[in-house]
Amino acid sequence: MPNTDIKINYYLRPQKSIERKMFCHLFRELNSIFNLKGYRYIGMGAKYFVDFMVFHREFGFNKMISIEADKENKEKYEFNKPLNCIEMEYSYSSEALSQIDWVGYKNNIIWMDYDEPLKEFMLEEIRTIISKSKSGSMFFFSYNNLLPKHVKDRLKAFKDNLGGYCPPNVNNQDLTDKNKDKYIKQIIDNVIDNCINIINNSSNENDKLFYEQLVYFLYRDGAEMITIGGILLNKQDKEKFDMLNLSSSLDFVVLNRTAPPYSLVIPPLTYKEINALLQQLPCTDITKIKLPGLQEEQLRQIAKLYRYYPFYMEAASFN
Amino acid sequence: MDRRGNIVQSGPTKDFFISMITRDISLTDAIIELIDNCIDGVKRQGKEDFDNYTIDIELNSNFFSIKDNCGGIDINIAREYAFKFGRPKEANKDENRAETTGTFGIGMKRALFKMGSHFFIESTALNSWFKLEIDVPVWASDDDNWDFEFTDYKEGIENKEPDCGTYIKVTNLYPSISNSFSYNPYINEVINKVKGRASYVINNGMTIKINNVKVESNFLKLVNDGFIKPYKYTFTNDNVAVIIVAGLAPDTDPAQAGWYIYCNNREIVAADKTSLTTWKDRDDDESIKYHNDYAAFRGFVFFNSKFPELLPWNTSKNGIDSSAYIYQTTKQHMIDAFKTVTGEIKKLYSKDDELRSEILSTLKKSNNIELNYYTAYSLPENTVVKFVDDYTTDIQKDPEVRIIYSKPKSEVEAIKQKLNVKSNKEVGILTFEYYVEMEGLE
Repeated sequence: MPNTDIKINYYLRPQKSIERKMFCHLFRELNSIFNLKGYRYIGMGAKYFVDFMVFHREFGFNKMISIEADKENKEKYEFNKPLNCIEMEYSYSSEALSQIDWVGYKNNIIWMDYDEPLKEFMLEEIRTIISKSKSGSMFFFSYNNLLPKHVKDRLKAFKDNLGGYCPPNVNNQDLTDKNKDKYIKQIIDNVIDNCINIINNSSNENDKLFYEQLVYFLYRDGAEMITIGGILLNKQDKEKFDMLNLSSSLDFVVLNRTAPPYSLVIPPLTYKEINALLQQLPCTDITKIKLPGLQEEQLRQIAKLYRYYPFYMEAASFN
Repeated sequence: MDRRGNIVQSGPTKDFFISMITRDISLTDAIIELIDNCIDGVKRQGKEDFDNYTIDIELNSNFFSIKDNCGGIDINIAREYAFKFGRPKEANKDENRAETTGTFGIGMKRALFKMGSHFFIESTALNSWFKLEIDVPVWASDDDNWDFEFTDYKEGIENKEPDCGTYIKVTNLYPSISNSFSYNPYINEVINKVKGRASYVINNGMTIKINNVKVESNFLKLVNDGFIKPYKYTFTNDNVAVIIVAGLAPDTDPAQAGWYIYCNNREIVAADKTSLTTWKDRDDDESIKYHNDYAAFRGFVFFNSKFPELLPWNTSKNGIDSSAYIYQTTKQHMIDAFKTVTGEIKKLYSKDDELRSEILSTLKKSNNIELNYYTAYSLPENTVVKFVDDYTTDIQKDPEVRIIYSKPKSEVEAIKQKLNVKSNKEVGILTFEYYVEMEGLE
């Protein structure tokens, strides 16, 4: 995890940027029933803190924690920390999650933005988060979706990564490119459901928690990544939530837990292409869009995502 | 109901009874209990090898099922013993005794009541067949009638041996049970536990499948080589045969260190490092407190008897009744075995680092046996475990020393090419030998 910031320039990841904008739209909707200003944001800001800046600006979170495993370079993070309300927690995420104050801050938006493939410790962290969360809290986590290139090498890597959480009857077929997303998602949902059931088993009717999935993104800025997550709701909040009818207002919201991921994959575009496309969008019949060199599937993604697409321009930050 | 004036009612209500018998057995142990019943089925037929016998278990959020071809329950046994709470005295006089784990007459019932509120049992034996279906709330609503009724049955028929077996299905699982049965880490826990408890039958040919995954056997290893033999002591006391084996493992995994106790081949205690066995729990005790220096210690005790009620296990079969006379007798021999083996380990750790790591790496490379009842049985008796002194004398005839030096990488690489070797170590040894040979020093 340390030093990912050297590999990737976080400012230049268009799909990640689309994802952040979608999160903003989502939070804006939810803001109408939950007062997000009082929420605490927990994330993994690296040295860029892009999500921290965006969410603070939009929602005014006053308490933000950035988990950073790269303890050796504290100065770098302290130097880059863009806001006074960001608190650094220098430890591995599992440690950090068990050390933070869960008593004083009941409402959280947590985004565990890992860059590794799904591992046992991440699933354990989901358990920690769920068991400490109150109705209205949201958690999301992103992981690298790539398995070893050759299918025959996947089984061992997969079992090693997941340890006790790996379904005992896993086989090569479950891990083919065609099946893996669904299979991995079931493992995650298995953990979420088990944890919620345990809480509910010992709670009275009004305190019982429901988990509503909100997002299930797939994107590919470099490595293929998945972001998955949702909101925890008690009975009363769930009624309010259902009234929002999120999926009708935001088409990227995936409430159905058996649905495939919502793809944020979009081809890089030139300024000329962007302008030409915008003149033809929105449009109901994609086949009518005229632009050389783009396939129908790519056009379909562009038509779906153009409102969130970031337009990069070179600009000098000092003159 | 009897309402005579001098009668004070003391019989239990069924609800109380169910809640009591299911409370002190863990869910995993309940499953193990049902597997043990199947294994006992084979043992009662006097079979030694378990080829062609299969136990198929399925667990998920909706139901638990276990299907075997291990002989089935004869209808008369079903009528008189199998479903009775507690074992009737006359059952113990049975001449066809085997080294079974079934003994208290509570295991199967307790396991079923633990999981859910509806069971279905179908069993085919050589001369009978029956079906039994129990809806617990209905059965529990009448505190006076404790009997179950067959849904259907046939007797005086002839069935072929391979067709004999039992199928049990529990539905209407309780919420917490259903939640566990659908949880991957729990299913893995069951598989691991079955591995520990049933490896000896799996090794003897039995197939056990859990959610269609074949459980593989897995045994602990003990060093058994020319210079070091395991400690073994056996004795028989009041129809209980006891084998004690102790020694050193080739690996030093602290999680696996300690004592393992088996009753009729069922693992009751694993990796124990407490005063239940030979360690001490507190500092004011005389014996040895566990420390990672002892990570290679492995001790095994096998209690076997055709009278399972004589074995020192508790009713959940997950712990030892340390006050049992047979266990107290055995414990003395465990202490002797322990002192012998740990004495050598202490000696080993009194040596300097270099010698110790050399001995430990020799242990790692030496021959070993996978320890289970059968291999323990065939080991020769031996109460002498000595290897540290012998090893030291061996070496002292011409003790070896370690040479460590650094040289420029480019030169070492060049020599590697010349000598056609890959490691720095080989470069060191071969250049040393070259010098010895050239100077005629041998």
